[in-house]
Amino acid sequence: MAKYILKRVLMALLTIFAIASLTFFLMKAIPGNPFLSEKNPPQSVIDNLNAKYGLDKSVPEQYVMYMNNLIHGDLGVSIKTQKNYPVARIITEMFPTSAKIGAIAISWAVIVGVLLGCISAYYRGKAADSALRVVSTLGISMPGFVVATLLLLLLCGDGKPFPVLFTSTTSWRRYVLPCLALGFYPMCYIARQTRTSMLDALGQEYIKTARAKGLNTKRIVLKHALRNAFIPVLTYLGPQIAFTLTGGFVVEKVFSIPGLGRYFVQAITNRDYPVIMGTTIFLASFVIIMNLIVDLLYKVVDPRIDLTKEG
Amino acid sequence: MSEHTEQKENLLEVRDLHVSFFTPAGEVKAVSGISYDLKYDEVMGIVGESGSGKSQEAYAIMGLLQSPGKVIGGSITFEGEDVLSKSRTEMTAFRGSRAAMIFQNPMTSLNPVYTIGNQLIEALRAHDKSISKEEAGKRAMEMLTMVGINNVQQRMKQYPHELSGGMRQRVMIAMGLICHPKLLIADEPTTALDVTIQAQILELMKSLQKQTHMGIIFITHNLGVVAEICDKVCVMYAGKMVEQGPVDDIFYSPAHPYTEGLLRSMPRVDADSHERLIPIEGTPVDMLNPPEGCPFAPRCPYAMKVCLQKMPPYVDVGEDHRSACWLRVQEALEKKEGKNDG
Repeated sequence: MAKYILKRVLMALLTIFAIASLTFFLMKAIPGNPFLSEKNPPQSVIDNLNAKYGLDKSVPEQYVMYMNNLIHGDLGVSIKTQKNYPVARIITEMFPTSAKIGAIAISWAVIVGVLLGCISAYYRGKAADSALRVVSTLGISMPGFVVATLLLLLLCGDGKPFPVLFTSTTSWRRYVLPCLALGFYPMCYIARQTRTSMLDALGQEYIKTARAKGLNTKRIVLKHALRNAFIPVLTYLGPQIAFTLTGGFVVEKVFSIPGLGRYFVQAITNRDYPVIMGTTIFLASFVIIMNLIVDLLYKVVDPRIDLTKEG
Repeated sequence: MSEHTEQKENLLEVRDLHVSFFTPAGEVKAVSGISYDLKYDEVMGIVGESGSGKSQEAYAIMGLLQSPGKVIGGSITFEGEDVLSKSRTEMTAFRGSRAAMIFQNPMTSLNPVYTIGNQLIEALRAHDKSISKEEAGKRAMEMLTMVGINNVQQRMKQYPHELSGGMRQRVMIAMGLICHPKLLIADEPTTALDVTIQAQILELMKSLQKQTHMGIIFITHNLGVVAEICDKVCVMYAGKMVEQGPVDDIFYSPAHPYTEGLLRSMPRVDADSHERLIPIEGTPVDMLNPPEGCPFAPRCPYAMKVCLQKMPPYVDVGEDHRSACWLRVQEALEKKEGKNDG
């Protein structure tokens, strides 16, 4: 087991290295630079700024420099923010807000999604199943900004319970709509996935055995079928948790949440190179760690899985 | 007919049972008109080919019929109680505690993600909520020992995939018997096992039956297994019972052409080397469009005109031995006439 984890960690470092390199060169391939705006400063100013941030060197030189810093744990400083905030600090400041909303969103998505999936599978073909399938198909095909905008339209404004802007209040109410909007897609996806794998599990012979033993329906569905049906959901959950926690940028934009997701997209339009690199590496590491955790959890859910045998 | 005698000793009485599946293509009469008695302590074999309704008949007793399957007629009486009128909750309590069932494929019949111990204890605690986990564990280990499993302490902690097929079927039997049911329905319990393991499992079931005095319904298509373990046999074809009788009568004086066909198509140890197995000609009945008369008539070498028109009634051909065949009806009539003449 220790050997397996060590192998995975080494693979992870390699993957992060590859992602960092790729992002670096792709980022540099985008035309423009951080100092261009409607009112262009004089060329001499731009030259000075370029020199300050090392942007006057050739791309390979910049790459070596960045990688060297990265290995030493230095993510650099933001070019665009005043006083040159360190990227690491931006991440540690922005991430908690995104993570908090993301965690609530993914939690309700899992609980409700799995439950609805079970109900849907158990009442297969009945009215409840059809209704749930319509909702989940809608949820999967609707882009996040539509959901967020709909929620804003319906539930925000004068006399309505929820604030439009996340930052306008400190009440718990400000969390409701962003979490709803952010969790809706994963909830629908999980519901569909659970339904499919649940139907498969319910058709298995061991379910017949469980019924013949005289177990009640609740126990058959929640103990015997669900654990077997959960593996595909778990596969989806790993990266999805990472994506949701690092911030759905659309939802953050709609509700003006000062989160990492929104900042990431801003950094790309601003060509704030160190921030782009830093957040990408952070997100990638997060996804990789979640995948590793999921793989370890497989073994817990299904004892037949032998992690050490796989390549 | 014997069904009115010794009524008190009957563990199970099935009368004119009808099970149908309402599929989009039409009604499939999986079981039409099965009747039999099973005494305490008795082992009955239900024999028939795939799709003859033998499993569905058993599921009906256990209340395990899956939609769109439904019992549409007849009665099932278990220890004097009407099984078909029981509520869902009552059926849940009935299953596993008073009647248990084991299935064909032990490889897939145990839940792969729970330990043997967990699944055994659960079976016990589903019906006896007052029993402590430790006590249940002890009972589970006793059961495992009883079905011939060694190292029980360790086995309890193992997962199904860590056991062989034969071992898993033993676990299934232990699980079925853990609440001391009066009736065990075994749905082809040896079919998926190789021959030596088959023999062991049969031996085990025979000895357990002697110890516990439970009634067993043994569903199989293997007449060799029937000869090994059963007291009486019910032969099914296309959802109908074509012959029923004590095991010796069925083997030595079969009274239905289908039973004869089954016996001829069975390999025998004492056969001459040049003797060939004789298959039953034709194909099984299309259950969506069953023939008008006797379902076996289209494949029957003795088929007469009447066979294609009307289902024959049951005729007693010996003690507790009856058959549904026009040939037997004819013989019975001739006998009667002969008597009248004499």
